[in-house]
Amino acid sequence: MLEVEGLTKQFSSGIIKKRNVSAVDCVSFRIEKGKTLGLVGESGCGKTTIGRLILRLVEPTSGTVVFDGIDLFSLKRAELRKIRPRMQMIFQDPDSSLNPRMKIGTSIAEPMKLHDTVPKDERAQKIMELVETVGLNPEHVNRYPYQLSGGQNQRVVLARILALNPDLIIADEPTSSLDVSVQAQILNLMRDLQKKFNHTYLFISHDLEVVKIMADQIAVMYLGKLVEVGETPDVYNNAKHPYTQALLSSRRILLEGETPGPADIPTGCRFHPRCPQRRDKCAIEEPEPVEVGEGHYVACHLV
Amino acid sequence: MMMRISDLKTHFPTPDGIVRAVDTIDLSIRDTETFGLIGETGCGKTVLGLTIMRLLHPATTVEGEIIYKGQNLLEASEAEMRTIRGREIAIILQNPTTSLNPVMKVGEQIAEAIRLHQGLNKKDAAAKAVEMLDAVRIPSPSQRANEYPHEFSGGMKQRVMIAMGLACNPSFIIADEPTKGLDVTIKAQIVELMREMTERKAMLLITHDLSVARELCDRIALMYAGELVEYAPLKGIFESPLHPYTRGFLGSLPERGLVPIPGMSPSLIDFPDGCRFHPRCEHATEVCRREHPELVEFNAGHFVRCHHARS
Amino acid sequence: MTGVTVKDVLGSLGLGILVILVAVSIFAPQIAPYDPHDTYKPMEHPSSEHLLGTNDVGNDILSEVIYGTRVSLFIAFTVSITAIVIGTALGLIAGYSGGVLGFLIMRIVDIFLTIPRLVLIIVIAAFMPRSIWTIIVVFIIFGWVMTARIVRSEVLTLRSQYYVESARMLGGSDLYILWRHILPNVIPLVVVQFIMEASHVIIAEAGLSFLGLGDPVARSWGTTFHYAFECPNIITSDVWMWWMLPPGLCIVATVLGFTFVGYALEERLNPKLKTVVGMGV
Ligand SMILES: Nc1ncnc2c1ncn2[C@@H]1O[C@H](COP(=O)(O)OP(=O)(O)OP(=O)(O)O)[C@@H](O)[C@H]1O
Ligand SMILES: Nc1ncnc2c1ncn2[C@@H]1O[C@H](COP(=O)(O)OP(=O)(O)O)[C@@H](O)[C@H]1O
Ligand code: SF4
Ligand code: SF4
Ligand SMILES: [Mg+2]
Ligand SMILES: [Mg+2]
Repeated sequence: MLEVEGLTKQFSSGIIKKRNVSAVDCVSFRIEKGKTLGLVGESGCGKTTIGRLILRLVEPTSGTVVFDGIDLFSLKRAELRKIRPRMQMIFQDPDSSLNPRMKIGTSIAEPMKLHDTVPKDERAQKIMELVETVGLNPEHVNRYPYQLSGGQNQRVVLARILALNPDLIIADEPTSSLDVSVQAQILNLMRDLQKKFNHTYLFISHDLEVVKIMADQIAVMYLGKLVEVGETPDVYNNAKHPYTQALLSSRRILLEGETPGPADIPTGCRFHPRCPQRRDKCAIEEPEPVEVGEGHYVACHLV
Repeated sequence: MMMRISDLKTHFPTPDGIVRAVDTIDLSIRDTETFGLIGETGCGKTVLGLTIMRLLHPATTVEGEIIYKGQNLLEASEAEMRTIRGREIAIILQNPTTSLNPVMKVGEQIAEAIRLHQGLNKKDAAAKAVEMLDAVRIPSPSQRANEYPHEFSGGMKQRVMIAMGLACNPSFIIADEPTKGLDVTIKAQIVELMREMTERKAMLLITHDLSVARELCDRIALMYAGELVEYAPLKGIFESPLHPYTRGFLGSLPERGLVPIPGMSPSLIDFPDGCRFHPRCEHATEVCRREHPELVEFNAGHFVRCHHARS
Repeated sequence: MTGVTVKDVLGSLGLGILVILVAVSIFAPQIAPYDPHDTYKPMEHPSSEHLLGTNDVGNDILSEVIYGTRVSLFIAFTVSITAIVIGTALGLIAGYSGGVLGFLIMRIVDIFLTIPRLVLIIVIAAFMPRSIWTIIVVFIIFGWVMTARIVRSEVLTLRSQYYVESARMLGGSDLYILWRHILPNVIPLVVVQFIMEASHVIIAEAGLSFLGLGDPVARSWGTTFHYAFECPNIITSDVWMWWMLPPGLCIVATVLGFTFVGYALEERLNPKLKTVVGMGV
């Protein structure tokens, strides 16, 4: 369904003194149709950037993304516009994902208008259907986003995306700004919708408990690189990378220090300044991903 | 007893009506305990913290009593409050990014807080600021003191906030979501730090994050629509919750099954009659719709506000 | 908090002033007792025939001031509407496209901003034929700059909002995004900018005309002021009270009207400001 190969993005900033920030570095993974890949990592490690690269909301530095047999990076603008409805993203902050001056109903109707998927006279009915699917009340349609709570706005975002009937949904920390009971509502809704419509999800989060429930496969990211990828039970029960182990047992293994910024990436293994198990060669040589079990890859000198 | 709050109400007049953000709270916090306050967004947690510090807009109506070391804070003059804030009671705010002054060096900001309260001279205050940065484990503190907030990462800013809160050695600390927005590994570090730094102090810890509450708190209270619905020692809440809201809240955790509480939290302008939770409660009966339940002691030290509380 | 605030009162007052002034300028022929170009006995003191007396060539001053409203407001509205439209369009382009075009626009803005606006306007106006169109064109040349700059910086913030990115993801074209998502959100700023520009033009035009650079035929308040000032002994006698004071008061009233409306609107136009909790935590 979705194959990502060697995806790399460097942002360059500054006009006089160009500084390159390596946000995503040679990332590869694949997701089967109807499955969920959970992408986990600390903030600033490049998760959102991966999502935006796949949708080509930012242009990649190198790499390929093949979606349903189509090489996305070779598409022209017009072709890209045609295929966009099939891949949608839920952004990190529900409140700023909706135009503050547009009524909820207008926002939900927007994709139908843009792609003319639903005839004009059926739109009102379709909106009501979607509103019901995501569990909003009909009266919400005439309100503005600031009159709804974060959780309700996130439902509006979902409704709008469903209007396009996409195959792939990239959910970027869809619940990180919501409290636990609202989080439970949204996550349940997403799971139900996936069952119903056979969506493929790329589920981005830094909450491992959430990912464990949502994902079939997990990819752990550190400073722009994937350090461990595998089926959810394998990664949870048999984590091989020291960073994954620390994440999973964040109560017991206290990592020293903080993530360095992507502007100054450490030499060798980029995790070595914080790694409790580092060896001499870790500071010099960068580890390559190694397959340790079926579909379970780890990039660490220990394995 | 470090602090006793009784019959506390905090109301905001707004064009749409009166927002009853805190509508009646009674609680006591002991000398060295960490008291956790948990509840859905908008239920009034931050407002309670700000009420204690007397940091709300003058148009706000506050009623009741907040007795701190024998003195009613609600009757203290503004001058008295200034000596209490920071020196006796400190608040560590939600969102360090907006609470730190972006154009002032981190060391100076801490030093300023110290000078205001301890009457130290500039040099001593600066030295003390470096000492505080060291205490919250910021590497090379004397150099870091001369940097601006934007040069610090999220976790480090949170450490600075803690350093500022503790700089004048207060005996009571209010921490509002001290780990919000931090990553798992950094969160674990901050929790460790808070545990050490507040060992001999009383703390009111406001948080959404139950894993943090479980690590730090001695007692926990659940707040719903401006009032406390249950409070008990840590174990009581996590192992034998009594109130349907508490059970619902715990049940919505991913590791406990991800079952949401149906419905939405009520508007604070217009509470439901009877039990404020009844429109969302699966055990609601006639009496719940009619009568507002009182907070009663169900087991020793375990209080609950529900007509049908059972274990 | 009661329903009516100081802002509301001032806003309605300002709006009232502006409505009256616009009505006066539209119905000037019906309201004015005489044609402002007819001549009567010069230098008459106020009387029941000439409520504000006559000037040095015998025009009825009241009629001149009433027709002056027309001229002053026409200049103010024409200049500010055109300048705002140009400024908004250039600001949108500069902010949204970013590229070479945006860079060029912003350099031009920077150059304009370093020039002392009023001085240059005076110099240019002095070398051009004396007509209201000269004044209008000169003011427009300088009027769009601030708007372009403000709109551009707002567009830059809006562009990074998720809802703009969402619209792109949903398949909206650039033009669609500008029209549907960006423009409606800069309109409040533009309205406030329009009001500031209009009151600025009222003052600047009065100043220019006062210096004798106004249109001698279509007399604005400033022009009336100019001729009054040229008349010997105007200050030492009582004549200033009916010749200079009325146009002066009109200028002050208009500026106050615009300012009050702008002050009241600023909050109204921002839906979020109204509901803000205002605690900063
Ligand atoms: N100055 C104010 N005027 C009117 N209403 C207010 C004011 N301050 C707070 N409120 C309202 O009081 C309620 C409680 O707010 P509070 O900030 O205490 O929530 P909270 O429990 O801390 O939520 P969160 O977990 O999201 O921080 C909210 O409904 C809020 O809108
Ligand atoms: N447009 C941009 N220009 C420059 N740097 C960027 C840009 N977008 C993201 N970055 C940087 O790339 C890194 C990864 O960002 P992001 O993907 O948003 O992280 P995450 O979603 O994992 O928190 C960050 O260090 C961020 O500062
Ligand atoms: S390669 Fe070395 S430093 Fe990196 S994670 Fe493995 S052991 Fe740690
Ligand atoms: S009092 Fe009734 S409605 Fe309220 S929590 Fe208890 S059972 Fe539910
Ligand atoms: Mg992100
Ligand atoms: Mg709060």
